[in-house]
Amino acid sequence: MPAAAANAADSLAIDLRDVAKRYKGRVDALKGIEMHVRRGEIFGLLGPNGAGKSILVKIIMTIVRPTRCVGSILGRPIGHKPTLGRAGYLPENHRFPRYLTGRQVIEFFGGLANVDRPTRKRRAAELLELVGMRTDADRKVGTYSKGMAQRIGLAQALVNDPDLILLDEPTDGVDPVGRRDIRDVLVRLRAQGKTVFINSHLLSELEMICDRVAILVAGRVARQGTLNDLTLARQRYEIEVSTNGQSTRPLRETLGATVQPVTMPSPPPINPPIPPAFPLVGAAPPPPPRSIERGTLPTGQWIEIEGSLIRVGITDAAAIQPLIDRLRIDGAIVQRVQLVRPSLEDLFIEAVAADPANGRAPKGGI
Amino acid sequence: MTPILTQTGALFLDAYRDLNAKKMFWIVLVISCLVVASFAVVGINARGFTILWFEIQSVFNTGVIPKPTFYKIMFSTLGVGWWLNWFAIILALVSTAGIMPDFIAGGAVDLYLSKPISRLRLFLTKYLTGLLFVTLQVALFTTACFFLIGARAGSWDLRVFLAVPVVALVFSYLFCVCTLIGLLTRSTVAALLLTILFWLMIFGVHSSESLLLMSKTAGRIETQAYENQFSYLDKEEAMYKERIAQADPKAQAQLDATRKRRRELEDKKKASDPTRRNIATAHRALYAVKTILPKTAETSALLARWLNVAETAADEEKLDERDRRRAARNGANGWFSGFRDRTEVRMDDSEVIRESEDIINARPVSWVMGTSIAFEAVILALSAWIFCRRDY
Repeated sequence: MPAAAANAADSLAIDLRDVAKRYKGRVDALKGIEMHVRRGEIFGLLGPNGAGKSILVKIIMTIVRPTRCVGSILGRPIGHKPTLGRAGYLPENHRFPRYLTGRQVIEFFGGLANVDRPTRKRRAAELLELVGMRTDADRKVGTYSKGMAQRIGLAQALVNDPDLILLDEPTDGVDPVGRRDIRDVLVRLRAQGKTVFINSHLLSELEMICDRVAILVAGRVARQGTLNDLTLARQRYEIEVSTNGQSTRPLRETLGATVQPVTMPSPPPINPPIPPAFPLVGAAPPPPPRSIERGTLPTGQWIEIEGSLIRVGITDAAAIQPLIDRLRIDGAIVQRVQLVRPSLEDLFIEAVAADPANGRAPKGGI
Repeated sequence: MTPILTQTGALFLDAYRDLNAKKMFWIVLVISCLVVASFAVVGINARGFTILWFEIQSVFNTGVIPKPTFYKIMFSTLGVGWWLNWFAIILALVSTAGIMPDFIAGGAVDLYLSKPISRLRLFLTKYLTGLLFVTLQVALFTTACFFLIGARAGSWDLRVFLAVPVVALVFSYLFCVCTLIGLLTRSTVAALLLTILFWLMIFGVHSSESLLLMSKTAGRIETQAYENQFSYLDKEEAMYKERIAQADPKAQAQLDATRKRRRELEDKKKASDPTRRNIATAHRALYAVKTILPKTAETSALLARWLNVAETAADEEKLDERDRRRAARNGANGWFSGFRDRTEVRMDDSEVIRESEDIINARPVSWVMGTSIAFEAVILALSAWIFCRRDY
C-alpha cells in the first residue's frame, strides 16, 4: 500500500470499501457499501426501516457474516476478533441477563472484553457515575425501565475504554433529559479522541452532534459527508409575497421563469389522528394534492412556485436582490425573504424519495 | 491473567449467578439434603436393618453385607442411581434447557459476539457452564455422603467422589442434545421435551438390548444343552450297540428308543433354531444402534463397578449357585439339572440373568464411555458448526 494511502487508512476508524450481504432467497440486504468514518468524529448512520443499517453494524461487529467484505476497523480487517477489544457496542433491543445488577452487567461484559478485574471494578464505578446510574447500580436489571437499561447499555459499551463506539439506537426509550445526557457523553467522548458511530432514527438528535452522516437506502449509501457539504448544494432562498398586492400578473411572468405545473401529494399530517374505534361513515376525505409550478429562471437557477411562496436555488444574498426588485416593481408585497438550509430530515426524505425502489422521482427543488 | 482466563472466569461467574437466581437450584439442593438425611437414619447391624432407633430383623445383616458396602450400595444405587441419575438430572434439564435459546436470542447474543472472543470458544465455554448445575449439585451431595459413610461406617473412601465426573458425564450426554435442539429451534420447551424424548429412546434401546441379550443368552444355554444331550445320547447309542454285539436281547429296543429320542430332540432343535437366530440377529442390530448412542445407564453403572459394590452381589451369587447344585443333587430340578441340559430356558432364569450381567459388566470402560463421548463430540461439533456459521 502506498504511504499516502496507508496514512489515509490509518486516519479512518471504519473503512468500508465493498460490503455486501445476500440472504437466502437472493435477498440483497446490502449491495456494496462504501463508507469511511474518521477517527475522533461522531458519525451518524441514517436510513428508513429495512435499509440495512443494523446489518451493517452487525457485520462490523462480526455478528452477521458478510457475503462480500472489503474493509477494516481501527486498521484491522473486519472479522479480526482481537480488534473488537478496542471497540464498544450497544445493540438495538439489547437483552441483558435479568439476574444481574447494573454494576454486574458492566463488570461481566468488561470481563468478556478482556478487562482485568480491578480495572473493570473501577471502570464500572466511573461509568455508573457518568451515565447517572450510581444510585440504581445494585438493582437487578430486570427491574429497570427501558431508559435505565439503555444507560447501563451505554456504560457496558464503554467499559473497555474503546477507541471506537458503535451505538444502535442509543436513545431509544430514553426521556428527553436522558437523551441530552447521552448526547453530552458522546460529545465528551469525541473530545477525548474517541470515534462514535451512531445508528439512529432520531434525525434531530444526530443533527445536533454528528460531524458526518451517511444515509443508507435499500442497501446502498445514498448520501455521505459532513452536514455542511450535504446541505450546501441544497440551500435555497424562500420568498413569500402577499396576494393582496396590486400585481395582476402571475408570479412566473413577473420573474420571467419557464415553469411546468407539477402535482404533488399532500404532506402527511404531523400528528396523525388516532383512528376511531368505530369508523364513521362518510369520514373526511384526504386533503387535495398540492399544485406546484416548477422550472428555471432565465439565469439558469431552479425555481418552484407554490401559491404565494417562491423557492429559488440561489444561496447568494446579492443574487436574490434582482428577483425581489422585480416583484416589488410589479406591485407585490414581499412579506418574508429567508435563506433556508435543508435539515437532516429534508436530506433523509430526499434520499429516500430518490430511491428507485420507492417509485418516486426526486424533488427537484429541495 | 490471560485473556482466555479472564473471559472464561467471567462466563463461569455469570453462570454461577444465573444458578443462584434460579429457584430450581435451591429446590434440588434441599431435596439432596433430605436424601442424605434419609441415608443417615438408616443403618445395618448384625441382626438386620435399623431406622432411627427401630430395628428390623433381616437375613441382610452385617454378616452378609459389611457396613461400608451397605452405605456404598445405598449411595451408588439410591443416591446416584435413582436420585442423581434420574430425578436430579430431569430437574437439571428443566433448569438448563433454556441456556442456549436464551443465549442466542436477539439482543443477547449480539453482546457476546461483539466481544474479542472467538465464536467457537464462546460456544464451548457456554456449553461447559451449562454443566455447572449438575456438577455443583453432585459435588455437594457426594461430599455429604462421603462424610456420612465415613462417620457411620468408618470407611473414608475417596472413590465416592468419582460420582461427580460420572454424573456430570451422564448429564452431558443429554445436555449436548438439548443444546443442539435449543440452537435449532430457539425454544426452551422444544429443547426440554425433545431431550427427554431422546432420553426415553435411549432407555428403550438399552432395555430392549438387555432383553434381547438375555434371550440370546438363554438361546445359547439351550443350544449348549442340546449339544450336551446329543453327546449323551451318542454315548448311549454306542453303549447299546455294544450290548447288541454282546447279544443283549433288550438292547435293540433301548437303541431304538434312544434313536427316537434323538430324532425328536433334533426336530425340536430344528424348530426352535430360527427363533434363536432371529434373536441373535436382532440383538446384533440393536447392539450396533446402542454403540452409536450414549450409554447413560451403563456409564452410571460404572460407579458401582468402581466402588466394588458388586463384590457383595458376587458373594450372593455364589450362595445361590451352591443352593442350586444342592437342589439338583436332591433331584428337585430333574435328572439333568446342573448339567446344562435344559432345552427351554426362561429369560428370568437366574443363570441367564447372571450370564447377561457378566456380559454387560465385561463391556470395557473404553466402549461404554468412549462411544458415548464420541457421540457427544459429534453432536457438539455439529452444534458448534451451526453456532459459528449462523447470522444473528
